[in-house]
Amino acid sequence: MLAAVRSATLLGIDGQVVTVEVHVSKGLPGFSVVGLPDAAGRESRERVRAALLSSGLSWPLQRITVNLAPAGVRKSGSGLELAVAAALLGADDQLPAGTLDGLALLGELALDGSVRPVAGTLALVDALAAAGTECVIVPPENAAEAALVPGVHVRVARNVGELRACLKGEAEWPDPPPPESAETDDARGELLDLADVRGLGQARLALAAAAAGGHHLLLVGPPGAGKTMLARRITTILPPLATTEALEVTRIQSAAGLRTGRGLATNRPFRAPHHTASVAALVGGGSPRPRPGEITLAHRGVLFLDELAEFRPSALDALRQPLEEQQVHLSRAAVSLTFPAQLLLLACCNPCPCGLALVRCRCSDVQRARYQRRLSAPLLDRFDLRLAVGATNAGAPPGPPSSEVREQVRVACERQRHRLARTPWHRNAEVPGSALTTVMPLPSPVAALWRDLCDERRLTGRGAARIHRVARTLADLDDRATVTAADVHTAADLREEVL
Amino acid sequence: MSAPAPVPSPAALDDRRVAAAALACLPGIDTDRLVALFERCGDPRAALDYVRSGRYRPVGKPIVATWPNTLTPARLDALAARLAARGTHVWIRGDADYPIEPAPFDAPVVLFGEGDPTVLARPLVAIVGTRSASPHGLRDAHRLAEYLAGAGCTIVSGVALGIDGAAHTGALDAHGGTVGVVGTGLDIEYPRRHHALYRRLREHGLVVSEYGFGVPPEPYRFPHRNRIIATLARVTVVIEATVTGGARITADLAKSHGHEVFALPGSRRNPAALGCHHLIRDGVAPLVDPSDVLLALGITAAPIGWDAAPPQRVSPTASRLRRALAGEPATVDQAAAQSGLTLAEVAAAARELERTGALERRRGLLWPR
Repeated sequence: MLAAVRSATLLGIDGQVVTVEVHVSKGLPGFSVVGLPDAAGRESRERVRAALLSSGLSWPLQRITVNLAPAGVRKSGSGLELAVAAALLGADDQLPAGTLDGLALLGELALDGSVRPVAGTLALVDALAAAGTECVIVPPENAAEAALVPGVHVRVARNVGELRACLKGEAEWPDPPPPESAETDDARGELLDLADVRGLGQARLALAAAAAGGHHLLLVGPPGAGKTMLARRITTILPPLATTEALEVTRIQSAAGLRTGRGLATNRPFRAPHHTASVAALVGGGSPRPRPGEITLAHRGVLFLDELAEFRPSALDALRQPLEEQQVHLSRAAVSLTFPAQLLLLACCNPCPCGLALVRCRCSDVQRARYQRRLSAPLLDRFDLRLAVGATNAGAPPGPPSSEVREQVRVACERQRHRLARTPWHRNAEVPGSALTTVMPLPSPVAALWRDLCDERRLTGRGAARIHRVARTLADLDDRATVTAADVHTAADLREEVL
Repeated sequence: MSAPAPVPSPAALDDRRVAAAALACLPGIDTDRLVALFERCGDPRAALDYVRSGRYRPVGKPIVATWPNTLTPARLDALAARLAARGTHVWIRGDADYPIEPAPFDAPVVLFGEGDPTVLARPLVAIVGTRSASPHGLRDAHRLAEYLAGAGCTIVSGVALGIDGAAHTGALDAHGGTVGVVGTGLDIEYPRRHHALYRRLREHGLVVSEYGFGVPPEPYRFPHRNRIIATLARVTVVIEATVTGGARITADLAKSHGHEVFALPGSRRNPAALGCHHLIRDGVAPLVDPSDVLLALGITAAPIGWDAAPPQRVSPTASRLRRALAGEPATVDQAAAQSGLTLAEVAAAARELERTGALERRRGLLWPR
């Protein structure tokens, strides 16, 4: 007998619909899985068998063949097991014919027959919905996430025995559990506040500009100046996620296995990988199926690289192209994937190996040059905002609290949205140099000052454009329609040759 | 006390000079061996014959076995052609045209030079200092070299990064004479960042080395070449120095030769000035005015001060910033805190001061001049 049911497997951060076919026939009792499963998929045989037997269902002592179609695509993970179990019940006549039509199942099985959550539910259900599936049966932990996809009926399977009863109509479908109370990481965010940081007026301004305009920010200074402390508090002033952005974030986090039992993401991601991170860990990679790296996990959020100069130069230079394109194309022999990477890069480093104040440095010229060579000029050029942070007096007054800055950032984002409404861009930092004069022109005396300033500092066209954008963001933060000379001066000061 | 230095005429490359150069260019030869060879044989040609004969076999130096083969007539002809093509001068200690006069016991037995040797005829002043100099030190070195070169002196230094480079550049900018004493063979440019400076030195000044072609940069050779700087120059000025750096070595050597040494005092907040302060404590004269150097050379000069131009009139905010900085470097934040100006006001005021030349930006800091 033959039965087939739909399921899906992850390919990067996208779902790939898989049809699970099970054939039960006379012959030597056995169970084989074909269709390029990975090791977890091959092992599913033991879990499916134990789950059925523990649930009081019978295991056909016949030759069982499971095919995962399309046969040429590699399937990853154990999320197909629930579908295998259901199709097996269908093929073994333990379910009435036709009950599995139009259904899709996702879930891993435990040996006692209960259903365990899978990664990437949002992407998987999305792909199934696009393929015309009407009803998706998911593990209870994934229900809230699956419900984010419109047009699909979500049902919950807690264990195999209950699933069979519900499919046969002998029992009511259980209610999906209520989503876990919003964001657990909210609690941590609440503890941080910009008011904790003393002094650093210029760096604070730069942080607000980075959060509002999406400008990459590099802070250079001696240890203990408060660079890291300040940078970590950017989470408290970032603008809220729009719904489409939240869906993207949820999809990526879910595919990476970072969220289970939670619905839509509400916080912008903040990723702070340690400086031993490899190229693959930063930009994504792995074989045979590349996984998203930190830049993708930081999509729509912040990638914070503390001690930038300690990262491998190869890993840092791998960031250059994704930062420019806001996505990364990973090509492997088997597959070629594109991951989104629209992020705000926030980085801190010391000015030299001794890290001491820029004035009191005791490093030799050669040492300093070697240290600074680790950061390539093209990478440094990606930072719109670069500034030297000096040691702060312990007695310096605390700055404005996060709530105040957050409001400024929100106002600035509002202004940007209005200005860029009929353009393909969303933030000041994204506007290309060629469009600057049409989208955000400078008033003529300010434009003259801007040109003089760029000439004096011998800036390239790219550097000049960056000052223009930052000046615009500074005016936005101040809720002003026109950019003033002071904005241009301040913007130029926020882009120093810091090393 | 400015004894007229001998004018080294660009003497023709004779057999003697080629032989001396060939010995100095032997692979793996060091100064002590070269001195020993010259002293034993008396004349470079005799020394050459002695090495060629294969009888020279110092202990623990296997590379010496290869020396006879590197001194074939064909190789010597090639070296002579190379010296001629590069226009390299070869001076031998004890000759009348030897540039270091009087030659102390540790003067190099062979000295190579490329460029214009007539700059050696002028009063020689060494300007030395640390490689990791502050913008203030770089500026002072440049200014002093410019002034002294303009007054007819030749500036001697070591072509290193930092103060040395600024001193050479200052002399060249004033169209004056300058001598770079290097610690590598003359065919090697080190540091490579000074490629353009080397070219200027060869065109308008002189590059001098005691090492033969192909000798690579090694840390121990740089302090050694400092003795040439110290003996060449009648007056040595230390601009910024670490307490135990090469500039300190040069100053001590110059003192031991009885030459005048000056050290430029700086701010106690500037770590690069510490070496100068140690020197002053140890009895070196502080350099108060650039003209003091000329007076030490026996040239009459009036005090001129360090700033070429008097401070210009600037806006009230700019002068407030200048007063608040009080000559010390600061970040924009510190400048704002010290002056009570907003960040935007500091930015505008800093730019104004920058345009009048009263301030410069380096490594993310504001440096008043």
